[in-house]
Amino acid sequence: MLTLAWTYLTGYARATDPARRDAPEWPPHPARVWLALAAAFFETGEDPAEGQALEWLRTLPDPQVWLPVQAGGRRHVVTAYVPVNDKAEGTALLQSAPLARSKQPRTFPAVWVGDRPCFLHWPEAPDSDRYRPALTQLCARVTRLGHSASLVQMWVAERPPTPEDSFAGWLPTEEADSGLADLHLRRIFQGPSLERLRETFQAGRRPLVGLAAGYRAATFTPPPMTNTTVFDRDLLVLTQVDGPALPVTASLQVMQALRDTLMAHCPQPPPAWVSGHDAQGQPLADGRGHLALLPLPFVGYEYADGRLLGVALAFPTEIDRRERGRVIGPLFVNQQGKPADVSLRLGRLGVWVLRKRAWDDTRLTLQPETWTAFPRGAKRWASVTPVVLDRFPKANRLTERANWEYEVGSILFEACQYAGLPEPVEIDFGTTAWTPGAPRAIAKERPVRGASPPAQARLGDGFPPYLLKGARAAKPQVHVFLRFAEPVVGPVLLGAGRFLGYGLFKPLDFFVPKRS
Amino acid sequence: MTPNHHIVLRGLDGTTPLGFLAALGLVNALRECLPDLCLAWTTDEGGWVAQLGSSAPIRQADLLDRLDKTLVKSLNQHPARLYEEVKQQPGNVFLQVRQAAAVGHRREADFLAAIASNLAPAEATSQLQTTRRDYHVGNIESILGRTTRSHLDRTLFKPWDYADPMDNQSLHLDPSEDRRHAYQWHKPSGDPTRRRRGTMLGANRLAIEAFAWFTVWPVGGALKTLGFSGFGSRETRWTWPIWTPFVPPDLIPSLLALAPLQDDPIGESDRRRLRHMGIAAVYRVRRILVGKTPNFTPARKIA
Repeated sequence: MLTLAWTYLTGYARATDPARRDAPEWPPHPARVWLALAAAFFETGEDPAEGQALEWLRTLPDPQVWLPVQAGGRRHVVTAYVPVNDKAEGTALLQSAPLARSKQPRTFPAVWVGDRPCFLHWPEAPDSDRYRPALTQLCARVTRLGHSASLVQMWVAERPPTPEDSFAGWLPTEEADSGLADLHLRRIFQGPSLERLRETFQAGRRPLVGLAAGYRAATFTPPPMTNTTVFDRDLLVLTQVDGPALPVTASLQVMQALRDTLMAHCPQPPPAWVSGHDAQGQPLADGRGHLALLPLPFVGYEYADGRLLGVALAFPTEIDRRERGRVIGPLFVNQQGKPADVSLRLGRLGVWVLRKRAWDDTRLTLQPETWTAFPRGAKRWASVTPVVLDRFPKANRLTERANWEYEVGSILFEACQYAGLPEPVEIDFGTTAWTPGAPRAIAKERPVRGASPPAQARLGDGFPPYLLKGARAAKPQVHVFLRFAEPVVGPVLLGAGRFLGYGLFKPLDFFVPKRS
Repeated sequence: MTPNHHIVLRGLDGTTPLGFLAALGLVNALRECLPDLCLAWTTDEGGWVAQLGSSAPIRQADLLDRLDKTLVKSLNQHPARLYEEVKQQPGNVFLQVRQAAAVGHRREADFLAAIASNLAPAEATSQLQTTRRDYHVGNIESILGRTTRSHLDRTLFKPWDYADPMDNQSLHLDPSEDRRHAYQWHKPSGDPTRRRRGTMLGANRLAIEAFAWFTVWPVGGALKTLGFSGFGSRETRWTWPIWTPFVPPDLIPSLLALAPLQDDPIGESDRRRLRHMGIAAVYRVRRILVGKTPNFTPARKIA
């Protein structure tokens, strides 16, 4: 057994697809890893032991490729204009002057990987003990994989990762089935020898690696006991394609407009699972069997700004796909079967245009798994929009703080039961969110000194209150942290506003919370 | 078929468009000199290299001798002269070539069918033509006249060193000739290194002999070429198969014309069928426009 591992020090893999200058190469091809090792070998003294180890690697069968589950987010490739080289002779000084120097287009495709390592793993590697010291030495000298800005740290790992560690595997297919695979990665096996590389380099050429092996994704069966909620994990995601950039605090307006649009365009009268009301116009008794609308904000990352990137529809599990398609389909798909644009009129905020998410949209925020934690589930979840309590606590928050907190905890505990969740082993709540980028549960206000009549001024960001029709006061809304004993598959939606975007949770297992 | 003798041509790498064309051109050039000539591909140091088979022994020196005799040096003796003739008197040329063609003598007819059509405008070119129209015939003439035995030797039997000058003697069929400004040291126009190195003259010479296998037909005022799909600088793709059993020359056009090769992606059942036919890999390049010059991108294995 042999496992090579590396991390991208900047969090990005910068390597161009050999067949397309404007596309990144991902997953990394085994041949590229081997060539990075060969480059380190040639640049650092050509230790014979390292050379033998590299030639030995060429004799091994195609390796498995293991990558962090969340890696592979592609950046939008833009054309950059770079200064051209100076001429060696003549007016070199003038050429370097910013105005006199022409620029030419080129692209720098990159893929976001994060700080978790990537692996090449050979389950069968006879004589690996013999070559391990030389490979360890050589790996330590590798500085980049791909473009010179694609800095890496590489080492010989003790063992390969597993799906349980949140790694996705690509396994080589049998030689006979290589042509049947969907993914082809350039291979080390039967690749160019060190001697051929030396000749190629001396001729001023780049190495040519034309042979590729077929790969298939390693399948992962989720644990059978993973808990799920009353909502189907198969979210219908809509992305914003036009309109103003809106903060997550505008969720309520967007969700209300989306609900109005859905109600207007679905078969009349709207089915109860869309409207949430029975034939007599009464709200469904326990809230189950009801379509929920989710805002999808960019939150939970270091540089998250809380901007809404799209929305999602969470269907009740008991509504089958055919029924969903019959009722919702005509609004989002045109007669040619292509995604149709849906406009939401948001008053002073403008018009928002939504379209069904393209299958190749790699933005993590718009992937259902980001919000459902499917297939592994997550034990820790935190709200990104405030949870509106189902009822008012009887205790006074200011004078009976302990009782108030106990009561709120009980209400949240009951809300978990309503939502079909298992009993949480830990509940925490407060006005500040656990996920970076999510604003406070409610905007802070203070009286304006000397104002007549008396007025309140807002302090910083915060969600507007969720005011039910006919209610005189808004129920308290808080941010909530939940921890379960067993992994839960979402979407997790809690509280009174759960059908209109409030009380939406995001799994925290991949992120470090600010507090717990 | 399994030939009695075979020779591995380490220089002709089928994963590059120029290498593949050079191998086909070699077969086309030698098909009348070597008995039971056939072609297959085998792996070698990162590529699929050509193997030539025959019922007679094939030695390196013999092969070069035969090429010396077969490959003409002058444009007037080569069907490529039809480029000019078809421009001047298209009607007559098509008629004359058709009347002169016979079962055993169809070299010119095949070549003409690969470069022009009497049903398309005169300015329409084959999708395989990647040199600019105004340079194309001049470059072919240079290649025919300048190729020597040593060029062919380096092309066929050694890993390519690209040590031949590019100026006026390259067909621009190799992806390495994509000379976008920001990706290289020298300014592309007037690059002094073009006069010293950059191409394989022998490979270009052999590739000319392969043109005849890439028939064109008129589609909406343009020419569509066998093995290609799509039109325009963003959509044109050329796909070719790599086969491992030895295949006689007459079967090669059928392999190039296999319909499933043009699918994107190739369906699983088709991929399975191709595999059963002995096609071990399928490569595809895009034909892009860099400035005014067409170029092939590096090949991608798609099946």
